[in-house]
Amino acid sequence: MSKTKVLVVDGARTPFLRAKGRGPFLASDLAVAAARNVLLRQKVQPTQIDEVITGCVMPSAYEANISRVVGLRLGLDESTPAWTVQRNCASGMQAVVSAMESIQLGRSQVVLAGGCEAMSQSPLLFSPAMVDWLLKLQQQKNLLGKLKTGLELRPSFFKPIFALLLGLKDHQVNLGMGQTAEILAHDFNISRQMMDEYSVQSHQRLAAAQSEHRLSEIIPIYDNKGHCYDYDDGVRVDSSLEKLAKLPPVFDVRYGQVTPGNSSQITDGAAYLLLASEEAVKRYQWPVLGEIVDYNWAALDPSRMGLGPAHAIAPLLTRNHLTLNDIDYWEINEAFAVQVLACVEALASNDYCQNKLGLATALGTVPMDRLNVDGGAIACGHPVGASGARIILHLLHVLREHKAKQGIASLCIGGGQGGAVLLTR
Amino acid sequence: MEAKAKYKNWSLQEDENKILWLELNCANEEVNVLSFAVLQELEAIIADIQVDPSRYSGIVIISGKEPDFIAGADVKEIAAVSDMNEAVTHIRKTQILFSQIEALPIPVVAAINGFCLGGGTELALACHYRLASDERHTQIGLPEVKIGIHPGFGGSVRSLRLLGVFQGMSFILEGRNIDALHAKKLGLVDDVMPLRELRRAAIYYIQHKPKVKKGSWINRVTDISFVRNLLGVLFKKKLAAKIKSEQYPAPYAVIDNWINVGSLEEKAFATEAESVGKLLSTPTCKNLLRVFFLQGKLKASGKETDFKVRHIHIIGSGVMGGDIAAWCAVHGLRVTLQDPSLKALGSAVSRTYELAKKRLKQKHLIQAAVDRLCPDPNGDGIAYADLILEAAVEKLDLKHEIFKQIEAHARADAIFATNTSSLRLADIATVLAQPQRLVGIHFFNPVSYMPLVEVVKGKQSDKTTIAYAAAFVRQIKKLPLPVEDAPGFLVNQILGGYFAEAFKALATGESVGVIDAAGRRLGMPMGPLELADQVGLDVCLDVSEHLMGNDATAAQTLLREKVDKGELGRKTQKGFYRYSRGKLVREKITPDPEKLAKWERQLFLGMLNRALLCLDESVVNSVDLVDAGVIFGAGFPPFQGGILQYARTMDKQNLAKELAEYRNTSVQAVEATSAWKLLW
Repeated sequence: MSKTKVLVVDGARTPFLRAKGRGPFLASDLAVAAARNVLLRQKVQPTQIDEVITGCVMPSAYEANISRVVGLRLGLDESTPAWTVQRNCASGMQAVVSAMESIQLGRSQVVLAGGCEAMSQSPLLFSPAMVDWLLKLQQQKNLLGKLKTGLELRPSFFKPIFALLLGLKDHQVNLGMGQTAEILAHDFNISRQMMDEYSVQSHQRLAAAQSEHRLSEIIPIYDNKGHCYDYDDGVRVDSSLEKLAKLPPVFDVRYGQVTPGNSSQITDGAAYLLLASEEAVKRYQWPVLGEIVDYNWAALDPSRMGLGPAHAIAPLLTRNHLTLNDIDYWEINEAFAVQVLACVEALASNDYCQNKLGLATALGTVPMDRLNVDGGAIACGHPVGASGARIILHLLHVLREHKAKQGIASLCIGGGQGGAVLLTR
Repeated sequence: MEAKAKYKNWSLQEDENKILWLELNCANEEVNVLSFAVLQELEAIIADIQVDPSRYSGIVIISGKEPDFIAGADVKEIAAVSDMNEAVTHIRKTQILFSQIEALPIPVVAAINGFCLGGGTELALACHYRLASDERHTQIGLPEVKIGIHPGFGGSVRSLRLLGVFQGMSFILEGRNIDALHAKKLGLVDDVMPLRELRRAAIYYIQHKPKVKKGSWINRVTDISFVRNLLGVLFKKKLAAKIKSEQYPAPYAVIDNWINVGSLEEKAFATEAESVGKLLSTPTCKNLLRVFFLQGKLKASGKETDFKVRHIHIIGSGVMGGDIAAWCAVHGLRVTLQDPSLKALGSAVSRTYELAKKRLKQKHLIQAAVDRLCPDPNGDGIAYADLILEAAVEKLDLKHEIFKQIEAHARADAIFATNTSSLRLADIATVLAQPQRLVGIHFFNPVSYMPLVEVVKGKQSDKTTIAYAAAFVRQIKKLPLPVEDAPGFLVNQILGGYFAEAFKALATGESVGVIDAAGRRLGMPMGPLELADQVGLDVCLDVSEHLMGNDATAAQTLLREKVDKGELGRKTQKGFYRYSRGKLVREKITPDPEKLAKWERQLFLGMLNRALLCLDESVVNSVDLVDAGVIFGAGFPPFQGGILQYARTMDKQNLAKELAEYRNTSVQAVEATSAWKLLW
């Protein structure tokens, strides 16, 4: 079967900004900032874009179908359709995959795809009791009714609900994401020490990439007060085992092992890629950053959602007649340190590969010096809608830098799924 | 609908609801104005209606021109008035006409879409109801004070009645246009709606006849003689902080009229008419009318082409580049702004946001303006832009590098511009393969306040490029002034004279406060040294040689001393003045009036000398353009009508003598110059 080649022309992302109170940017602000310089430097004319696809988990109430908001704010032609996709932590990856499909089907030639998230903007909600009371108050026609209803107000009604925390919990299995990570630690016998060591390495790798100016995909962004943001500010250059050891577990409180230090950070950010068919690339004389070859989605037990990458990677390799050794570089999103380690363990385990992935033997060991070589979400953060697009973009940069050929970008997805994308250049 | 009798400017149609639609569409005019002819026709129309008003259920006055309702009286006719009695008679007649409209027993609605100014507003005020579309171009105002008079068709009386004396006074005295929503808040219009609803809203008002707005009880309380006297003093005091009555008598006349007769009684109208008659003969009025026409003259350049900039690329995000970028983004252009400093780019983003907030007010428009500005540290925008403007540091080799880059990457049909104020275009253009594409577009600081932009015609610039540049300046709502490529062009050359005299005075030991007081006495908005602080003393030093010529040495010594100490003016909070939290700290002085007059004269001569030299060297080719330049670019007081207009009011012989002394030549030499001949 000969399919249209889907090429990545270029891409960019904003710095990922750690949430310290409500940040200065809405998700669409970040998206516009990330995408516009890509369009500019590739001399894209607004009419050349066939559609805009954006992944975003929790856009603000002002940003319904945020992709359309982004397309219009970018100054694209008003006749350019735009749609938003949501696959939790893989939303940005879903956007890229959807763009790929659209191009392969011949429906589009050029697609702007990516993801954005402003987690720091997630709202505080009123409790249902408060909502009921407010509605009742509104319905009262006379003063007496209003007074009577007014007296029914209880202090407990004011207790706010953090929408973000609701989103970070799997309500089907009644587990927080961090608790699913604790389950993996238990299943694979991964210690606190191993998690913390992995986390220190993530910070060190990102810090090194920053000081060696290897993150050229980052576009500086500016807020309305004129402050410029040009690096991932979640990185802790001075991170150490001793420091991480002091942090308390926050998901399985007191006795657990997963801490804020060995989990991804709550962060704002956006990443966008310009994808085009081979034909369009020739026509517009664009450069090529790489090719998106194939992808795979997988689903599994929601309480072990962190193993999603293992489940997505195995069929992707098999279908493309590749072995683990054929892959030069890997990005597995660091939702939790333990979850990345567990995925590596699972792929190397005969038992897991045979019983859970239906393979004859283990796939092998992902070499740690080829995995997340410039750090990951533990250091730079995990703006859920954007991360999928970020790791694809970054992996393409890594392949280019090392003159390597093939890579796989993968992430776990809350609710028990995994996604993986195969890239070449 | 049934068409009625034929008029040249008005069309009359009666609809099935018996509503008479009075549509104004001035023949042979771009905009609707209340000329003598238009008013005459309206008089006939109203007289006809008065015969039997009950034929109609109501009247709607509406405009047949898309972008405006009525832009005011015909300024050309005002300027042509020579007999003041005739003027007063005309005004009285129109007042009576408007009062007849007000007295009609059927409802009259003004359905306002677009500019509603001066006489247009006065006509609307005489209607029973005013409805306005919420379009951005719907602006309502009484700008008469800007041409040295005040409303004469009952506008100053009815505004006070309707809005009350506090709101009404500021509406008349400030002469500012207000948008529809603001007008509704003030009570100036009854309702605001989208344009698509305007006609239906008018029908609704006629059919439902809501209670007609008649000012509040506060009006009646404040409109008692002794209260008027008390409040009048307050109004005048507030006014005196901004303008002087001998320079701008019209606003004072509005207050005086009100103190004398109030606004409630019929005689207020006669007083208003008399007062306008008097004002029409003042030199201020004549000069302000001159300024009005000069503005029109400037607006005419660039009209010959329909060139539009959709995308501008600006190189250099300093004070000027950043502010130009902000201005362009707010005026609808896509802007890419190039600078190696991310901090400088960030500052431009915040200035754009602040300007947009002030100008556009609505959240979605502000966001769109900020989105239009794209910081572009790598200069990728060059390849897109219709116009590429360089606003970098004034170093020739840097500019050469920049223009090489520009030419290598720009579209073949893009034009190039430089905002240089001290380098010659011809010198910059040497690196270009197509030097004819380069033109100067010279903005003034602060960009958002200064209406003038000089379009510098380099010797190598071709005509199309110059016309395009002027069209661009018009597009962003600035006034283009085409000038030759001479050092300092026009405005800075003249300001150079202002600075030079100030530094000379300083060298004699005169105090900063006295020198600046003399500048303000001349009517300049800022004294020369305060202005130097504003511009930046380092910048002044950089351009001193070429702005002050032979007079530069004294200035340079003074300036270098300050710059070496790090006292660069406002931006470092210390220069000739101290600044506390960004505000200038002015010390109280009581200068000797004689000294003050002497320095004022020196500052004036310094500028006049330069203005005449510019004319001699044909930097611009007319007295009018020199005056337009100093008023809109240097802030020369509009009530004088320009520096050369001001000179014309002086004794010719005496002035020639003074200038000869100033130039150290003979009176004959002064009189032999071509500029002198143009002047008289």
